[in-house]
Amino acid sequence: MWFKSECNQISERLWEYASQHLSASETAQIEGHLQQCARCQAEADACRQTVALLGAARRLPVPASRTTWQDLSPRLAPARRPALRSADLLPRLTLAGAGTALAATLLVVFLTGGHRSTLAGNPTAASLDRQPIASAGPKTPSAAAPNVAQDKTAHSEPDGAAFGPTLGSFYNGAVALLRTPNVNVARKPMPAPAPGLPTPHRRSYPRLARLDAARGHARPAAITADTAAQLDGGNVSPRTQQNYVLSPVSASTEDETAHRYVIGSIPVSQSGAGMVASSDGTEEGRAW
Amino acid sequence: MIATTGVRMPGAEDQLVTRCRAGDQDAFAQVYAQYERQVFRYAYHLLGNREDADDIKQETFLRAYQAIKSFRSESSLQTWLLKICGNLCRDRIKSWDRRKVVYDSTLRDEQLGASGESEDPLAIVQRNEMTDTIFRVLRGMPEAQRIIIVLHEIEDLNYDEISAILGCSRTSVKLRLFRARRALKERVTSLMKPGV
Repeated sequence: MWFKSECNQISERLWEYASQHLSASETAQIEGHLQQCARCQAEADACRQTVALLGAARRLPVPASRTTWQDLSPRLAPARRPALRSADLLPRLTLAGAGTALAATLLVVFLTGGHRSTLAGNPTAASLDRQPIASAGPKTPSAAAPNVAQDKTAHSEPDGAAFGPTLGSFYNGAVALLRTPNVNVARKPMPAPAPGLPTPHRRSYPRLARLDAARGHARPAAITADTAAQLDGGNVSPRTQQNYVLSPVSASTEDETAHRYVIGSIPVSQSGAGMVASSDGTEEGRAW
Repeated sequence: MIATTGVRMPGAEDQLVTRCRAGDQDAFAQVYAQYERQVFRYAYHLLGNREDADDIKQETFLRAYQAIKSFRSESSLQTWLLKICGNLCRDRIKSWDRRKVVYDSTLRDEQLGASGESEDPLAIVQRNEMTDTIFRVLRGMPEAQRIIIVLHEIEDLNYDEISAILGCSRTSVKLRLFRARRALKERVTSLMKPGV
């Protein structure tokens, strides 16, 4: 295998051999190997051919350039702006500083004036949500708005007219936006309950009733079959049946003809006295 | 061929650079006179025609004038100018590749009588054929290999100068040159085969 390694060594030096950059001893060594190895001889011929071509390229006369310094010099002189003098800079800096100060003053006045009116005790969205619902009517955004309107007029506040027509209108609009209660417009308005029916509220009857029963609160609301059917859209769903205990009563009295439901598993007296949910929903209102 | 060893003359060249940075156009004219031929030759061997070489030469010196203040004298002016020229030639070649420009040897009529002497027509034809072969070989090589072959084998620059122009190490230059020579040898062998 030493022949192969020798061929690799010779191959690495063939370019210098073809370029005649080797010493006499090295040249003789390589020529001795080339006489014995046809493969290296072919590679040496290729190297000689390539080196000769590169030599010709080196000696190749290059045509004269057609562009001169006169063509380039006009492109080298860029247009320059006159340098600013200090006398020109002073009024510009003064004007810029005055404008910045005026803008900062207006911003501080605007923010301070709007912030003070907010802190004057106007009801915020959170406080509006916590207010008990005094009326039996549904909770609608329009119902909540009069409270806000009453509170709004209860406080004196700086009018935006002091800032001018344009800025004042912007100021008044911003203040009104800050005072708008956080009404969930995505919430559907509660349907108006039929007379005699308990007031519908946000959460379901059965769960709240179970909670109240567990806490030992007021009597669970007893709902008649008609009530349950109406609340459930005319169908007594399996969930309702599961939650309600049907306790048939004697059909002797008019009040006792209907089946009465009891929320949860708490039995009720068959007379049902005092167990019917009040029409105005105060029990529910008080419960939650 | 301009034989240069790349030896810097710190005093003269630094003074020239300092004057150029100050905006002295006469100093830059001296730089132009000193290096414009070499820059033109380099562009000519890379691009293969005089018009493009002229454009690149002018653009090279224009860019150098605009960027002379950022020249830090870490390398010679020659190296810096050839680096700018190589980058511009590379961009021009890439634009040719995008536009599928084909090298046409019939347009090389400037070689006739380029030496300015009355020559034997046969010699002229032979020289033109050799020129066509050279440029056909060079254009058939990858751009990076073509550049290093032109810099070392034709412009006769050493490894240090080439590494400064290409922005790579000396070892990398040797390795690239070895690969470029091998590719050049294969291409020449294939072109010189009878019947090609």
